[in-house]
Amino acid sequence: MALPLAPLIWLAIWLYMRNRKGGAGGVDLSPGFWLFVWIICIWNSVFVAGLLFGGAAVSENPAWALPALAAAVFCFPWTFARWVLIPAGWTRAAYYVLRIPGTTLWKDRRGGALAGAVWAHTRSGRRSPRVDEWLQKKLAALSPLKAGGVAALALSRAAEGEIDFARGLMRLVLAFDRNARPRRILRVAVEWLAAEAATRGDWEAVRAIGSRRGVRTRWTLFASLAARRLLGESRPHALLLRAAWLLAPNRIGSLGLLRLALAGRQDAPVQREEGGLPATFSDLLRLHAALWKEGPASAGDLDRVQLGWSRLFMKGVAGGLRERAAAIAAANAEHVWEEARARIVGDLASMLREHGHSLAALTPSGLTEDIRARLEDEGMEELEHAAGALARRRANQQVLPVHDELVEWCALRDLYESLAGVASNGLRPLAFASVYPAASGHAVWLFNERGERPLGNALLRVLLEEARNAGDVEAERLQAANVAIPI
Amino acid sequence: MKSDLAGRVASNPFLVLGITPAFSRREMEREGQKLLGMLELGMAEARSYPTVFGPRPRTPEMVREAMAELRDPGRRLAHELLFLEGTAGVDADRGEKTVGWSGAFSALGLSRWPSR
Amino acid sequence: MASRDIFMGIDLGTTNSTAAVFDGERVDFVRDQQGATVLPSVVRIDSRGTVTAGSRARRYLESDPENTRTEFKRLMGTREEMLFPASRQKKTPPELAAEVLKVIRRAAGVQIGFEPEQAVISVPALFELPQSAATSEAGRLAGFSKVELIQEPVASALAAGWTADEDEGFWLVYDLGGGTFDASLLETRDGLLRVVAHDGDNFLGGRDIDQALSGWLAERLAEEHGVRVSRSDPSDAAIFRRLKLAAEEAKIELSHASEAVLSLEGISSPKGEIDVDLVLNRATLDALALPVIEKSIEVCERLVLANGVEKGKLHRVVLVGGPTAMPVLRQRIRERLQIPVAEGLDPMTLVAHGAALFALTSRLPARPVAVSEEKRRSFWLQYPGMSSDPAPHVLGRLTAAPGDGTEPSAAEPFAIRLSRSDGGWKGGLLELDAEGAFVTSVELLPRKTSVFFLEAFAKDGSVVPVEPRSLTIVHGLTISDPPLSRTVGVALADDSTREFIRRGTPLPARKTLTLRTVETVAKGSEGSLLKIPIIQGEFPSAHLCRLVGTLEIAGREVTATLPPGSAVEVTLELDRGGRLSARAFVPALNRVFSEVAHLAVPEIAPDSLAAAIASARERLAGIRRDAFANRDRNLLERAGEVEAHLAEAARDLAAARGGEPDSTQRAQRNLLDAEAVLAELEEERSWPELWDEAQQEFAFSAEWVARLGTEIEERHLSEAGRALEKAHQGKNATELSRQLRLVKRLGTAAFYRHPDAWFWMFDAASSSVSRASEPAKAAKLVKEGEEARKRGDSAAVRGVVERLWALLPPDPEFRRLGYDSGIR
Repeated sequence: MALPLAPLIWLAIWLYMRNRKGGAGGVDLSPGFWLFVWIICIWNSVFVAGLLFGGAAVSENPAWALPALAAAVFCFPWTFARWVLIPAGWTRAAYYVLRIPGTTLWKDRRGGALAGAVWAHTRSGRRSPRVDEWLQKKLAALSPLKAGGVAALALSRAAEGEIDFARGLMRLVLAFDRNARPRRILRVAVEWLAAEAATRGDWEAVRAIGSRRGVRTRWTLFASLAARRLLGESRPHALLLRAAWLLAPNRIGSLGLLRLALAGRQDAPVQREEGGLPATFSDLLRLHAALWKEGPASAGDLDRVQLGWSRLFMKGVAGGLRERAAAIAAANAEHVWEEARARIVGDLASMLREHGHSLAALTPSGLTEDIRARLEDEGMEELEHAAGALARRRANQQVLPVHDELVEWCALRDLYESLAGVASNGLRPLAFASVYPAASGHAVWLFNERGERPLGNALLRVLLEEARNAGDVEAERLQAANVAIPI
Repeated sequence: MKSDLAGRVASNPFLVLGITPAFSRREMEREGQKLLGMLELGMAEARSYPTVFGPRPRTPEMVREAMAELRDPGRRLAHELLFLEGTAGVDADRGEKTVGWSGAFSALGLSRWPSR
Repeated sequence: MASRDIFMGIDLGTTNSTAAVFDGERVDFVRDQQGATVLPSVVRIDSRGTVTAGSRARRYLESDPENTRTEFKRLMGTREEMLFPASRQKKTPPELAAEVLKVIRRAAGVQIGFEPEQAVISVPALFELPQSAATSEAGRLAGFSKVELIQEPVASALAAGWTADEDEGFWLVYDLGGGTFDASLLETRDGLLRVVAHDGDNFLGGRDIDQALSGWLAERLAEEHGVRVSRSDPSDAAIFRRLKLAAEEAKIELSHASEAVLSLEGISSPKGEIDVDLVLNRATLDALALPVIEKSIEVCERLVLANGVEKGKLHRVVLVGGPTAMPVLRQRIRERLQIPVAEGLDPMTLVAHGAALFALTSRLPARPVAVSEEKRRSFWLQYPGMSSDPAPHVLGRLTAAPGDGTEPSAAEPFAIRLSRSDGGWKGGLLELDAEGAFVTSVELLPRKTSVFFLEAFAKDGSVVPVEPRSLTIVHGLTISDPPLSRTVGVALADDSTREFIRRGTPLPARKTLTLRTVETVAKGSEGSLLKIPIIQGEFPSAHLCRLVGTLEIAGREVTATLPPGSAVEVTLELDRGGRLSARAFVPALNRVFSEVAHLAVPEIAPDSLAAAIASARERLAGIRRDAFANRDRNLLERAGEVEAHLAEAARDLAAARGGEPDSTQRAQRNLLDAEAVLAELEEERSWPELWDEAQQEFAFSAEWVARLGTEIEERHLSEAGRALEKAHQGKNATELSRQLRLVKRLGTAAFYRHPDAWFWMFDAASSSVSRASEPAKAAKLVKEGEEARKRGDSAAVRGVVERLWALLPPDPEFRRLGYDSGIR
């Protein structure tokens, strides 16, 4: 059968090969032209594939299906990899199929293909050291790093169990310039982030991801509807939720979330009377100890305990303690009391931060001011240490592999956000002022001197956003200008 | 992950020695000496002690340190204040809980390596 | 009944050593061939390489000082080696101490019939880890299979408490040795001894009195005979040694007589060799000794005060050490501390006595229990060798059968019974539990030795022969475990410390704490290294504490890069002898690191010490100037304190240059003391400066933010202003600099909004162009900038300024700004 458009396809392939090989001899054509050629090629292939399938059906010869399949893979490499190769765990196959030139991973093909390969490897069920090594080598060779590469790194670290670091990386994927961030990779990142937040039960975050314009997927939409239902505010109708579930992919896997959301909130906050708080040190300590048990403590629980303590400490040294001190010849009842108070303040502060609650969640009391001071002091000190270390390392020209640079960056960002998120509003500009010079210098250094322009740009975008949040007008102006520099 | 305070409550010398603040100094020494002997002889019942976080391992070093702590009246007073016996009551008052969905990653076809 | 166990304790002193053996009731002191209980800590190696120690070596101290060494205890734990020129041998301090211990061990062997294999050795309370480890090492070298250490004051207290009748309350042990001074506050209650606290001075001792005395003698020599000698001249070292020996003898004589004559023969003078007689009376000696005594009493007062014990509440003071025989010392103590001195105790042997008692307490018999050859079932028993509790616990567990379980079950013990040998107490029949163990308590004879028989019975009631057949417990004052003398912790990046094992914690001890890294440890990188310095001491600043070891995590061993803030779980462990082991667990790597670079007490070159003293003097001068200017009397007084430490350090340094090896250590200690006070003073002094700077910065920022700032910036600035005021009130320097940073940021941001800001910056940068690293390039840039300014091109001027900054020597503030906008 004649293929009227075949010569055009072959012309395109020939031009492409020639262009790839020849530095000086290559034909210099604009990317737009290539896009045009590829779109023609792909639609030709779809046409060819369709003809071949048709042929197979007419001639009842299954051999016809093979070239048809090949053509289909050629047309839709991502779809094929995502739904066939990755679930099957075929790492190298996934990698090479995703490397097939196409429009999907156009903006970071190498990194994107590697992300697919890492994903496939984690699905293979068996960890092969050889494949591992191959992947790590490919990962290390990615330069400059773009969104696909960062996502690949995130998937690989997540599979190792380093969820915090992986989360930092996936969030960074969102910050990349659109010219260095394939759309498919962006979708992988948002879905991953939503799933991760859902695992932690951070429904607020799930909802926020799902309602972010421009990066919504069918799955995150479903997840955010479920999250809204679980949060118990502006409940979407069950029918709407079911419809979203039906529309989203991974229906069987997501059934659990659907059921959870339909069952709704089982643990509505119990209204407690203030008078019900225990009044003795020992009983309060028991209540406090309950917060240390497995799983995150809710803000309400923390507040309740905090109020109890505040009321107890307001009364001054317990009489029983004084008597006891006299009985065992200890002369320091006051000191012991103050020390206990300081420890409790410290513990409440660290729990607040660990479980990611804001200080605003606590009812103002005799202790909240001390908790705030403790949080700020410790947090600022840690932050200053971390920022100082980053600046020192750059000043000493101590170059780390880019992946390790990211480890440090993500750790600093987590630290900053945990502090800025938990403390009073006044702290955010202070915290920002103490990390900004080091962080900005670092991003600029990656951009200018390390040749990691897309990555440097992404980091600057993060800073720009944070400068806005912290109200640092000058940093905002500067970073807006920096971000505008083409990568 | 557990804070300094939680650590202090869990390793309270009274708990480590299996006694209560009602015990006198001499009784404390006697119990401590008994525990040290039992640990040295490898007797099973001495190897752990109950706390609000469940049983904790008990070592001779901990017993010695606990004894030293309780010998000092000032430090003893502080430990008496932070003495929290038994396991009862800790879960009873637990209010609202935040529920996560453990199946999120697998629903999206994301998996983890088994930890080594 | 089997022969009684014997327990041995050794007081390994700076100038003299003593040893005691204890059989549960009676204490005997080990005597050398001459019958003396006090054995000089002196070692001599002659030209044939023969080693002698003790009183036989002491004789050569004057005639052959080169090959006869003493006071090596002061160098324990350092890397110093002592040379014996005649035999060309070099010996470390533990090797020399081992020679003294060998003599003691042999003498004890003659006395008790076998050479002891286990013993307790005393160490000064303020010995640091390397010094303790060196003492254990000396014991091992002397042939002891196991050695435990006890602090000298604890030992003397044990001995004093053992001999005293029921004595409840606080008391003080005052231990002035040859080279160290220790004061310990103790409390006895319910028959239990508790060390409340220690204090002391590792470099204060009888030797300082000797030195003052020899200095005085040298002055007399100069005045009366025209013989000039100087301590810092190594060629005069021999004559100083002779003066010191003469002084020592005179001192002993003067504790009975009121006048002593010192004869020195063959002193070289301008008139040739002369014989000199010098007369010394008690009043002179008292005057010379008084500074040392007063200093020691100050330490006692500090100790008592720090622990909230009123002076009058002290029951008594126990004196330990040779110099405490001086009448003036006893008198001053009575006067100033207002406590009776415990009489009837021999200050020379008290420590050894206590060490022997401690050997019993920790059940460390001089001869380890022999394993019986007979085929018997044996019990592994746990009980205190000495107990203050009249009804202590005895625990036992059946050990595995010798015939690996093939024995007939009829002989299997089913129950046991304990009974006291005098028949006054008999325990009930006690069945063994599933583990073959029993727990019971026994009744002791008050303040006596009780022997208990152990009988075992089979299920049918027949007697089963078991080992051991008896056990011995002494009722008396006890201390359960040796306490740690100085706090052990870890130095942190900001020069603060993290306490791990507090002083007074009974050994062995172990503690794990989670710390966080401050810098990246890069995977596989040779250059990157995480150091965890282990320190000992109670100062809040790490550099003032002693570095005793370093735990290292090298980049090449790290499998994944550790970002700053990574958790590291550090575990420090000390065994009973004070040996340190440390390890770090890094959760992110799931790996344990246990490489500890052990350090000796660091040696410091006299030159660097001199430089350090000079720089401390300079800092002090600055503080003084300020104090004068502000008429700050308090500051001046404390500056005087620093001056005293520095003067002493300088004197010690001179002595070190004259060949006294441990003077460097003393000088360093004094320097550290001076620095501790200096640091405090400087912080106080710098506060007004810091506050001035803060106010200036705030004024600058307020002006610019008011002119060109946004609403948000104004709000942030006013909040920062309030926080600054608060930090000022609370004298919180960290918080002040933190807020200051924000204030500066806000101010500069507003400043740069001014259209001419970059022109002003250009003026500033071009005025300092002479300091640029590449003047030609800088000059070209200035020219370029001037042209741009004429055009009014602010952006171009900015580019020039940024490039100029890169050429100028770094000024952190400017550099920082430069980086902000550096994308090209």
